[in-house]
Amino acid sequence: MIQLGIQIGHLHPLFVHLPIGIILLTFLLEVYSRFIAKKSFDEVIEFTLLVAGVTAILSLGTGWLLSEESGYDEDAIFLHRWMAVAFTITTILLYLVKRSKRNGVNKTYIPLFLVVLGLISLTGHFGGNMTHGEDYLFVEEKEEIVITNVQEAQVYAQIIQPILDDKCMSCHNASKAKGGLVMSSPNEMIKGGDNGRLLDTLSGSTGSLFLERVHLPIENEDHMPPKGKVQLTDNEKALLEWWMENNHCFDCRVMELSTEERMAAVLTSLEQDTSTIAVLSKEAKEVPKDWLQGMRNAGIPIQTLSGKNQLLAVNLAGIDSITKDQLKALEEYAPNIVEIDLGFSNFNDELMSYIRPFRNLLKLKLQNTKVTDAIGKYLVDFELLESLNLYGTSVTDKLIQELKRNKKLQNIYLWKTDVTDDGLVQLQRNLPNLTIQQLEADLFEATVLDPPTILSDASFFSDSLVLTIENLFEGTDIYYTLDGSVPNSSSTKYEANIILNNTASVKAIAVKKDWEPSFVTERTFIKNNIAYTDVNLLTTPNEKYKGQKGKTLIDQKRGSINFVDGNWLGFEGKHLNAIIELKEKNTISKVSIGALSAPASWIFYPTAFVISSSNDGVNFKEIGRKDMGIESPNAEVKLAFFDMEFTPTDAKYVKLQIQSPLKNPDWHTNPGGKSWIFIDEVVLN
Amino acid sequence: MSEKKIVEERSLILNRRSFLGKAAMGVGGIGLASLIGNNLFRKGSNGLYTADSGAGGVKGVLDSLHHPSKIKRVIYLFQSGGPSQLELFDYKPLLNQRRGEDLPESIRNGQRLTGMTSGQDRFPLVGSNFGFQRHGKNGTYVSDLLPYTAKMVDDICIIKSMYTEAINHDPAVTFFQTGSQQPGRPSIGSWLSYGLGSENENLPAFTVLLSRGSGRPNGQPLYTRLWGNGFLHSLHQGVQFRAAKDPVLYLNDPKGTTADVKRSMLDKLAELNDQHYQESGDPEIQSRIAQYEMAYRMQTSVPDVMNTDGEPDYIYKMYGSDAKIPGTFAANCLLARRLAEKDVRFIQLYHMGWDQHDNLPGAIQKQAKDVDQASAALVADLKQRGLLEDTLVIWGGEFGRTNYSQGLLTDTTYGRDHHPRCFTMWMAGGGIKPGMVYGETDEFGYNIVKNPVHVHDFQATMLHQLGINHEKFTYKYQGRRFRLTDVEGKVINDILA
Repeated sequence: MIQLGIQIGHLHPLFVHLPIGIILLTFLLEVYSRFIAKKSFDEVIEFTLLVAGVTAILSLGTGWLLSEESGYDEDAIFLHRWMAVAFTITTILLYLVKRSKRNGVNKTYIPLFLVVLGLISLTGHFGGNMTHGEDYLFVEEKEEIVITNVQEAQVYAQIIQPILDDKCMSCHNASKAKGGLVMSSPNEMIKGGDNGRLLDTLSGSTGSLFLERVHLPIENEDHMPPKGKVQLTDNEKALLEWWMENNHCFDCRVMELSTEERMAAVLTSLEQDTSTIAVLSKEAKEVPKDWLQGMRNAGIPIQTLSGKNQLLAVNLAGIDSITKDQLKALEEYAPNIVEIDLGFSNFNDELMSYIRPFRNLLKLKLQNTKVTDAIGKYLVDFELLESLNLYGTSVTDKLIQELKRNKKLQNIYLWKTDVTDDGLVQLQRNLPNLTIQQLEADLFEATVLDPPTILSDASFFSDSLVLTIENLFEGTDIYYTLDGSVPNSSSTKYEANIILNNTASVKAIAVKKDWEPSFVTERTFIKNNIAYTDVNLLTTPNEKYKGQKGKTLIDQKRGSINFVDGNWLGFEGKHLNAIIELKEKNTISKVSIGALSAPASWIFYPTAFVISSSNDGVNFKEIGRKDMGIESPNAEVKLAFFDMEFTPTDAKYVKLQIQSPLKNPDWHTNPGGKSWIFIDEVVLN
Repeated sequence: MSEKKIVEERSLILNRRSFLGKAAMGVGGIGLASLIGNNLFRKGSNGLYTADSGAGGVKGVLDSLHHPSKIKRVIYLFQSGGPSQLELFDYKPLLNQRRGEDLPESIRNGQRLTGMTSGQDRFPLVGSNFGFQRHGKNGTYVSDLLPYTAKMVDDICIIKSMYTEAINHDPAVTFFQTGSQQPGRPSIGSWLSYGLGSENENLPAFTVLLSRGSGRPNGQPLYTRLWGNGFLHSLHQGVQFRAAKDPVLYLNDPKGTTADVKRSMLDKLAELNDQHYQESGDPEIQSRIAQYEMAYRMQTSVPDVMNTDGEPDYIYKMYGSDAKIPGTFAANCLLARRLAEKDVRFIQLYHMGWDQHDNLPGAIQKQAKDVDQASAALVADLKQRGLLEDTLVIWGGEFGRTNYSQGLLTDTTYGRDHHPRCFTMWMAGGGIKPGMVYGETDEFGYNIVKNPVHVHDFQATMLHQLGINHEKFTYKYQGRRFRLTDVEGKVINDILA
C-alpha cells in the first residue's frame, strides 16, 4: 500500500510546476487587466485561480505520498510540506475572494495575492533544495584541490572524497540521505545506510556493498549512481577499487599504499600541470586573429600554441632579412611569446635588445647566427628560459658564466661554439639541473671507410686492359694487389692507372687518417683472346631466360644476381649442351664457366661438365671432364666461375656438356622439384 | 536537378578535366603539384586550396592546433619489407634452446599464414644467430647487428609490441602509410601537408627519399601511391627527391634557357592562365599558376638542399662513409637532416630489402649495416643541433617476422616469413620518453603479452605529438568523413614524456 503511494508520489515533480506557473500567469493577467482597464479579464482570472487551486491540491497530495520514501531530511520536509499546505489553502482562499463581490472582502484581494506569491516562492525553494542540494542555487566557492605530486597526496581527502562529492553527494548528503546513507565524512561512510554497512558488508575487500552497487549493470535499479545521473568514469572506478583494496584507509597518503603498475598512470593523471607553460597559458591574454594575420602579412611566421592556448611561437628561422621593426611589432603581445626560433637568420647582437620584452620566453633558438658574448646581459633576464640553442655561434666561456640566474634552464646546445670543456664544467656547477646536450666523443670514432671502386669498361679483354681505382673521399690512399692476396697498407700504392696483361683478380683497400681502413673490394678481369663465330645450343633454354640465345655465352657480359637481367641462360630440369665454333683453329688448354646458384629460387650450380673438341664439327673427342657434385646445404645467392685446365688441344669446334642436378637436392625445402641451372659465360683459353 | 546541383556538377567536371590535364604532364607534373607552400593558397568554398599570390595566406586547413604540439616535423625511416624483430631487438633465448622444435599450436593459435609458408608441413622454431648485449642506463637488449643503435639506446624509445592487421607487403605498407589496407587514402605526409601546411615556402611539406637495401637488392618495389594524396588535393602529394642529377624530375630549365627568359615566360603564361581562369572559374588554374612559381623557387632551393659538398668529414664519419654515395640510406639520412633544418614538415625515407624469407642471417647482416650507423647518426646529429627537441624520428617496418624458419634450416642459415602479430619499432625525439622499452612479447616472440600497440595507435600518437587530435582531423569525401586512423586509434600516453 505504501509502495503504491510512493509510486503515485513519483508524479510529484510533474505536478509541482503547474501551480507555480499558473499563479504567476494569473498575477500578470491581473496587473495587465488593470493597466488596460478591461473588465472581461476577470472571468479568465477567476478560472485560472481555480485551476491553480486544483493543481496545488494535486501537488500537495502527491508530495505527501512521496515523503513516505526514505532518505529525506525530516527538517527540510517539515518546512516544505507545511509551507505547501499554507500555499494551497491561501490559493483556494484567493479564488473565493476573487469570486466574492463584497466590498470589504475585495480589499484583501491584492495583499492576499502577495502572500500567495511569497508562499509559492518559499515552498518551491525548499523543494528545490531537497532535490538539488542546498548549495545548488548559491554555489559556495569550494577550494580547488590541486595535486602537484600525487605520491604525497592524501588518498581519502584529496582523491576519494572529491569523487564522492562529485558523483554521490547530491543524493547522499545530510539533508537528502537516500537509502539513509550520507557520504560526506569518514564517520558517516563507515556507519553506512539502511541496507547495512557500506564498506565491509560482505567479507573480502571487493565484496563491499559500496563496490557491488558501483559494479551492477547500469540497467539494474540498484546500480549507483542511478541511471540518468552522471556516471563514474573508468579512472574513478579504478581509484575507488584501489582504495577499497587498500582497506579504505582514511588517513593514508598515496605512497603508503601498494600501487600496481596499472594504477600508476591513473594516479599520475590526477596531477595538476604546474609547469611554467601551463601557468603562463592560464594567464595569457587572448591574441586577436587579425593581429596574427597582420604579423604574418608583415613577414613574421607566428602562431598560437593551439586553439585554446594563446601563447605564441615565432619562427623566423632561415630568414635573412629580420628587421628591428618586425621585432618591435611583436611587443604588443610580448608576454604571450614563449618560443622564438631565429636559427640560421641574420639575427645579431644589435637585434637582441629588441627581444628583451619577451620576458616569458621558454625556448630561444639562436643557432648559426652572428650573436656573440654581448647577448649575455640580455639572456640573464629571461628567467623562465628552459631551452637555449647557441650551436654554431661564436659565444665563449664568458657568456655561459653569466647564465647563473637562469635556474629554469633545462637544455643548452653549445656544439661548435668556442666554449671550452672547463667552461662546461663551470656551467654545470652553476646550474646543476641543466642538461648540456652533446654527444660522447667516441660515439662514431671507429667508422670504416668506404671501399674503393675499381673502374674499367669491361670484365673481359683480349690484349690488355686499363683500370682506375677511385675513392669518394679526398686525402685517401688506395693499396692493391693483383695476385689474389689480401691488400694492406704495405701493398702497392695506387698512383696511376693499372694496365693488365693477364687474367687477374684485383683487390684494393682505402686508407685514411682517423678512419678505419676500408673492407677489401675485389674484381676479376679475364683475358680471352680467342674469337668465336657462333654458339649452337643443342638444348633449348627456358623461354623466360633465353638471353641472346647462344651468343649470351660469348658476349663477354657477366650476369648479375638479378637473374632476369638478360645476361643469363636458364635451363629447367635439363642439361646445357652446346657447340662453340671458333673463328679459326686454336690451341685451347683452359675453360671457365660462369654460373649462378640461388637455392631458394631452385637454381643450383652445375654438378659436372665435359669438354670435347673437333675440327669438323661432327666427330668430337672428349678432352676434359670435371665433377663438382651437389652443393652442400645453403641458401645464398652467389656467382662463380668453374675453371678446368686440360692438355693443350687444337680445336675449331668445342662441345660443352654442362650437367644440371635436374632435381632439387634432398636437403632442399622442396626436394625432388625440377631444378635450374643458370650459365652466363664460357671462356676458352 | 536544382541550379545549385548543376553548379556543383560543373565544378566537378572542371576538376576532372584539370586533373586529366595534369596527368598528361607526366609524373613530374604531378610531383610539382605538391610543391606548393601553403601561404600561396587560400581555402576555397569547396574545401580545396585556391591560389592566392598574397603573402602569408592560410597555413594548412587547421586554423590552429588542437593542443600545443611537442614536435614540428617527423622523419620516418621506413624499413620496407618487414625487419626481423627477433634478430634486432626482441631477444628470445628460448628460441635458441628449442631450435628445430615445432611451434606449439597453442602459441600459433590459428594465425593465418602467407602463401609462402602455407605449404610447409612443419614450423621449426629458430632463434637469432646473432648475440644480444645489454646497453644503456636501463640495460636494454640490443642485437650485435646494431652496434651504433645500441650506443644511442638511451635516446630512443623501443616499442616491442607493435601489431598490424595485414600479412602481405602492399596492404601492410599501405596500412601504415594511409591507415587503410586498400589503396586510395592519403598518406600520412599528405594529411600533414593538408592540415598543417608548409613551414618553408621554398620546399614542399612532404618529401620522399628511397634507397635499396643490400640485404635483398631485388626485393619488392614501392609504389608512388604510398606517398600519394588520395582524395586530398594533389598539391599535398609527397615529392620524391631522387639520387640523380635531377633530384626532382623536370625541375631544371631546358638547355639554353636563361633566368630572364624563364621569368618572362612564366609571367606570360600566368597571364594566359589567368585569362582562362576568368572564363572558366576553375580554381585548379590558379593552383597551377602558383605551382609554376613554386617550381621556379625550387630551382634554387632544391639543389641547395641536395648539395652535400659542404658537409665536413666528421659528418661523414658519423653517418658512415657510404653517405657520400647518393641514393644510399646513409646519404638519405644526411639529406633528411638537411631537410629538417629547412623546416620540411614530413620527411619520409624508405629503405627496401628487409624481406628476408631465406638466407636471413647473411642478408640481415648486410641490411643492418646499411641502416645502423646512419639511423643512430641521424638521431645524434639532430640532438647536437637542438633539432631532436621538436623532431620525431621513427624507425620501423610494416610487420615483423615469424619465430619459425621458412625454408631451409641449418646451423648457419634459416629464413623467416611475415608475422603481423608482433614486431618492433623505435621512436626518438620530441616528447617521447627516451631510453624506454614499451610492450612485451611472450617467450616465443610470437604473441604480445603486454601493452599492445596497433598501427592506428601509432598514427594517433604521432598526430598527437604534432598537436592534432586524430579524431577531429577529418576530410569529407563521398559523403563520409575520413580520418588517418579510420575509426580507431588511441594515443599511447605511456611513452609520452
